[in-house]
Amino acid sequence: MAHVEAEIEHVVAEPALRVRRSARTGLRWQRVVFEVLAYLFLIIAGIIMLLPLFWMIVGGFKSEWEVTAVPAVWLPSQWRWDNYVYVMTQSLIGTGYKNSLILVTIVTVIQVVTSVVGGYVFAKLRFPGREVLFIGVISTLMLPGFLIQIPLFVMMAKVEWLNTYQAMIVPFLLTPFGIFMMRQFMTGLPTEYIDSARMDGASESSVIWRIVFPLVKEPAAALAIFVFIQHWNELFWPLLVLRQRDMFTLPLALFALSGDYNQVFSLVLAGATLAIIPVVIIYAVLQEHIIRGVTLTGLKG
Amino acid sequence: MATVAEPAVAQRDLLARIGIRGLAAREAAFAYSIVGVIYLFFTLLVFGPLLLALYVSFTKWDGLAPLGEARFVGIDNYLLLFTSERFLVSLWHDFEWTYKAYIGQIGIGLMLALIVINISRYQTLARLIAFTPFILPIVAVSILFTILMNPVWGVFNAALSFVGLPSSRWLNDPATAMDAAVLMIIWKYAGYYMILFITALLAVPQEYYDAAHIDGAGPLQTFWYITIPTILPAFVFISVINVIGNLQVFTPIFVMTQGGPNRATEVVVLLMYNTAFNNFQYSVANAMAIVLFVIILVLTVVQMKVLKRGAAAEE
Repeated sequence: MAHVEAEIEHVVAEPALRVRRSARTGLRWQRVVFEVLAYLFLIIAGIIMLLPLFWMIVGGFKSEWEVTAVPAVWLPSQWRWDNYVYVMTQSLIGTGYKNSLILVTIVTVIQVVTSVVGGYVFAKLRFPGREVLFIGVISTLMLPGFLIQIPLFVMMAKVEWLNTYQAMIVPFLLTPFGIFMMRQFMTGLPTEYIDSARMDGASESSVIWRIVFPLVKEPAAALAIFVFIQHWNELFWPLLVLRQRDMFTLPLALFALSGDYNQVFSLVLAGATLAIIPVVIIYAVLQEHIIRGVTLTGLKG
Repeated sequence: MATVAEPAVAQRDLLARIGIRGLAAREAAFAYSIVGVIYLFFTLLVFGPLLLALYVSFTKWDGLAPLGEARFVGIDNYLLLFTSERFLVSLWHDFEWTYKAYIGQIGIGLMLALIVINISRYQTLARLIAFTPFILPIVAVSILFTILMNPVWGVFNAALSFVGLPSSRWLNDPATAMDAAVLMIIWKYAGYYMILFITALLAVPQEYYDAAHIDGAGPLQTFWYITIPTILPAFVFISVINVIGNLQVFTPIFVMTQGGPNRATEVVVLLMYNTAFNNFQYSVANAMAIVLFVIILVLTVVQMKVLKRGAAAEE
């Protein structure tokens, strides 16, 4: 298996970060000036990117007057964990958390499986009409969400699926994007193992489960992270199909919270901080995988 | 491979029974069953809604009554749209949002990428920080920026007065609301585009730079004659996904301004949403969706054409 893994590494790995040699060949003092200016610029950019987050997280610990104080108060006089406890237990955020965790996990798992199976069929199986059928699948990639989802909402209403989990799951069981991405990846994989397993009489499902899945662990993980983050952050579709508060996902709950407690900004900030925790944890643990994955997932914004 | 191997005898029997041709047939049968499921899914949940949208856009229907009561009205809905000032203004707001976000996201993203690939240390740290805003829920970030942009006590005004600038009313002033909202989306996505450009820039062969250096090209010449032409395909791709994404803007506007103040930030998808679900002019909303889709399609094709011409000019 070793060389197969090496090949996958080769397919998946993007070029390692390196410093341009040409950048070093300039005059020495030019180089020094460039580096100083570059770091200065990047430090400022970094502060701009992180300071709002800092303000949000710390703001969740403040009392209300400290959030709205002029001049601004940067750190709370007393760290109020109560804000977080209150928001989690007494507002919609708790409900939203539960619903989002359940729904997003289900969608992620199923979509990764269907993408691997679909990708495998279009990449590795030989059957007449394969190319045309594949083009048919990826042609739907062009269709924007709003165009499909507004009529889809009416269909959901007709089958009385509004305010149900299935309305949040079924439309995302498989996506052209997932199939496309896994197919692109699998096309580059060696076929010998799959063929020999099949010659040994293994069924297609055991080929997929035992041979294909281990080979595509890395891009499948990238897809899983991508799907998780996408659905965790999604507002438009849940806004259409979830109207009852006990069905709200986290973004809906957060939006409702910012309306309900319009004056209590410290609680809104605490709610927003709670909403980012899962994605921040995933990002902290899998940073490089995520960055590589996004480049790999063909950059769907 | 022990996991999939079966006893040798059974294996020989199986091969004898189905043979190589049988194996190929079994492979095709399996493939067609999966492809069939995929197409069934797309028929019900993608093509179905698409056809429904198309059909409904030529009728008058509120989305609530049975579909049979939808009355065919020809292209009336489309005529209505193109004579509706509100729709045309929302279309203009879409373009305004898109070109401002495009310049900010792609401009800053490319600039950051050029800097980061040329520094000797902390590249990983820079990528890590730059990417953080991208992963965050857009609702949380939109709410956060609304709070930061509070005209009375918001931190942004504190920052402005710190550097000696007059304070702004940000999202609360029709004149600045769009720019303020775009500022958030640039903040959220600049690092993402930086990552994309870094990937594109690292794919430029080092030899090109070496050759340019030997020929005495300066940094600007190198950038213009080497970097830009080489990353052009990636650039057009990034540009296409940027425009596609930005023209569909909904959530940040919905959360931050609800289209206001004074409809100054009302974009097409927001108007579509309100038309369908607050005014119950469901068929008009579908016509809007189709118009916006066609615009996105045209802009995508135009950008691809530019790429082809650019590539042809190279040869």
